[in-house]
Amino acid sequence: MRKMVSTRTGFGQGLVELAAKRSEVMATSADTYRSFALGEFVEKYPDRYYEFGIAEQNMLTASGAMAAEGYCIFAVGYSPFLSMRALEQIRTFVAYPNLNVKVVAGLSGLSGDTDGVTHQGTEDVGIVRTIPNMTLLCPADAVAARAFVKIAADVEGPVYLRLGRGSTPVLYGEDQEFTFGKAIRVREYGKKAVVIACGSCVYEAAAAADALKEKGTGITVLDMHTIKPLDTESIAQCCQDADSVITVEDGTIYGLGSAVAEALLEHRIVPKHFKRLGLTTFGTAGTYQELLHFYGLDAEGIAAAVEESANS
Amino acid sequence: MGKALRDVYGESLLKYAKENKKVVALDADLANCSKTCMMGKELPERMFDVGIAENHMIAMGAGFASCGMIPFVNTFATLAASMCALSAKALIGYSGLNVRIMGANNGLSGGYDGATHHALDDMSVMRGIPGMLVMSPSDGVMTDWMVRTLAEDYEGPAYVGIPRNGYENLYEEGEDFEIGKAKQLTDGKDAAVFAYGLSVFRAKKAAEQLAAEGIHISVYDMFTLKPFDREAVLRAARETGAIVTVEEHSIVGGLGTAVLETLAEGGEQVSVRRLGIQDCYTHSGAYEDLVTEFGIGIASIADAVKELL
Amino acid sequence: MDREIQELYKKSYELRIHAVKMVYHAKTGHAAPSLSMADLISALYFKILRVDPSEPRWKDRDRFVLSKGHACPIYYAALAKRGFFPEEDLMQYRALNSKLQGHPDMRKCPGVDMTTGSLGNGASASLGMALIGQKEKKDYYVYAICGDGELQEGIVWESALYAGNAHADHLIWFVDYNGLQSGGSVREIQNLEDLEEKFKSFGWDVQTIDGHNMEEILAAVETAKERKGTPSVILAKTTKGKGVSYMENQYLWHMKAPNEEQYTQAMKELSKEVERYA
Repeated sequence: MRKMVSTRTGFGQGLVELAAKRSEVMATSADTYRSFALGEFVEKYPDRYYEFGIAEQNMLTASGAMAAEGYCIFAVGYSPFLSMRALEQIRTFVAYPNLNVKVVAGLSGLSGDTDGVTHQGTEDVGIVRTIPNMTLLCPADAVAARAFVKIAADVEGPVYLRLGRGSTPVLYGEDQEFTFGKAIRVREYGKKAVVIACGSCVYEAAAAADALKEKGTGITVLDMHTIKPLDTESIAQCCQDADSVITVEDGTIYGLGSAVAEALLEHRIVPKHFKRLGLTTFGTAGTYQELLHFYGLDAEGIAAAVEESANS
Repeated sequence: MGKALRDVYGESLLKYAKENKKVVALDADLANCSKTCMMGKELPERMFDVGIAENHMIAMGAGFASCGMIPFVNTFATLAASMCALSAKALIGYSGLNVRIMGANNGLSGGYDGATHHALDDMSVMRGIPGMLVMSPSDGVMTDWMVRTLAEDYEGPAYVGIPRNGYENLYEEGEDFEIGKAKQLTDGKDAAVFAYGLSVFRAKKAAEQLAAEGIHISVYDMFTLKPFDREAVLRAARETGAIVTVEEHSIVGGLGTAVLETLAEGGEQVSVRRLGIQDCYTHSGAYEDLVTEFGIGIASIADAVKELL
Repeated sequence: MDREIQELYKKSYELRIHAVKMVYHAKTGHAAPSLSMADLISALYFKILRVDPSEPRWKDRDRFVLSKGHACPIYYAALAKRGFFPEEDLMQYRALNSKLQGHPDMRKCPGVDMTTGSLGNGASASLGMALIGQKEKKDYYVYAICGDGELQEGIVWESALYAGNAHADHLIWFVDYNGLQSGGSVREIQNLEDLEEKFKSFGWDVQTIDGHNMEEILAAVETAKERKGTPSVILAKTTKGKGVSYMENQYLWHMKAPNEEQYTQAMKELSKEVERYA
């Protein structure tokens, strides 16, 4: 039985741990602290928590100002409302002055699940990636999310930390090490294909790799947890002798997929097959796992894409 | 300098609004800049100034469209993308409403107003929204065509980034354009340059300079970023093997990225250079100075082509 | 007239001269929105604000946010005159690679506490600063100047709501109520009235003053500081373009540079005022 934990739970733990060591760490919330498992943080550090209510724009600009006073602010909210409704505030009042605000976005990608399109942050990677000075982190599971709190805090400047919503499979052991900007080779069974994934799709890609291995097809899976700055070195190394390269993300293909396309071309690597798995349309309501399956982003869909590229 | 494209826009909007009573204009206190003031003067009953409230305006536009109108909502391109992205997605794009989001002062047009007023991510944001038609005109003839198309029969949401300035026209009056189909302006086999907006004029000038040196390039006007003319890109890649993209926009998420996505998926082995704002912030300055400084002027385009060869 | 008051008036006109000069020199920029808040900024930088130009980031300084960031010419002029950087640098306004960007930039310009330029956000930033002041039990005040048209932005009311609930009594906003925005009259475009009642209902202390009357400005700030438990807003009734006759109450001067003849006339009119208060 696979272990299921929400990345938000991992985040909440990580923040409490970090706050105990660093007094400059504070949290701001847009009526979302409970949903980010910050109950313990708020209880322990009531004077380091600011509730803005349903007002993301105000929260982000004010967080920028608080960061300018020397604090490290974790601003928690939902992906569509942060990356789209408050994009102006992220870009102009957090990123442009290069302030130490960590924008923590739940409900990213399809994880807004049954709430439907308005609550699914499926465009966020594509949008945030365009913002200069931003760092974009996308932990694959709760273990990674917990570790990424400290990694985000260690980055001097703005970070977008991409989280999900419901419980998702735990991929990593508690002792897994994470290095900022360095992709993790989750599976290395061969170069029939290199699958580059982020977020929950990494687990799915790993499962696909295991299933394909059974059938005699060896592929490599990269966890691209840092999407900006992108680990182009790992991409170049892994992909130069691969038959096909496939990207997998639970948002539009203008996110990780586009970033990898840029990296490949700039390194003059053109694999025989390059495919971006992800959304090209709006999402729809459903459970997260149903949606991954529907859009071909679960282990089955990824394995099928690998086989398709091998046979074409 | 030729006629400013924002003036062409203002005149065309008025002209086609007179022909189609469903056309209304919304503005957020920038009518004198976006040039919807022309419509406001002659057709005040179809002009709505909401005040300085961009997000509200876009959402209100969705309301108009749901009642069968064709609203042209106007604000700075940078604000259209960053303040209105969620409404553009969830109210307009998702519902397929006939709202036309018109981004004034696109690219570096904001000049002296500085980084907060330069639009370097609008194409990226809008391109990411499914079903959104994303365009930017390169001259007056095309601007007029776009306004007519959007005022008459185009069904669905659209975003248009409109340059503030303008050079001499690239196209003859009555030129035929097709959504999603690039316009090839010059023909050469040494390299291909893809551009949109005022960069097309500069790319054409660069082509002329290069031709004098014996280098012949194809210049494509990619006025529609979405849907994207992948065929044109793949054809040019096969013909030339060297591609330069030029945009008054971040090199991330816009034209340059769209070209690289296409090449990667098409399996085309080519040399590429993306000219544009190199993932950094800009600053205040005269428009042409900024164009030169950020490496998208005529000389930079010509140099990039030569470097690739 | 009190000597100190007289000096503040004089400064306000010297700042106006700088602002118009900057816009004329740059051939672009926002002159009239600068002129309406000249008296406010003069009072702030030469009487009210506790700042130290030799240490722009001094922890205990009063903060100032120009929420209507486009009116930065007069702000830059005040910063220069107060000693944050040399006055001759003012002619770099809007020039390529200058610290004096078209809208204020905290990373480029000494003395600027917050980057602004997109309307409404400065209000929210000033709230953030005030919350930190409360948290650290500092006695500094946070001042912001908002435009009247700017209050049409939703984010202003998000921050006003929070500030009222937070009893942020070290937060003082001025509304430069000149009645005009870039497209015309505020009243016609999107009327704000009854503005006093709006702020009151958000839990703010409200004063309405003549924004060109130095005694009223100083007294209002004193009163605001005495109020405990509520943020304060000072609705300063002003004249857009104040001091240059042909700009006064003309919204088309929102963003426009004077030509040579207009410039000469402006200098003449403003210099006369400087002499009057000398």
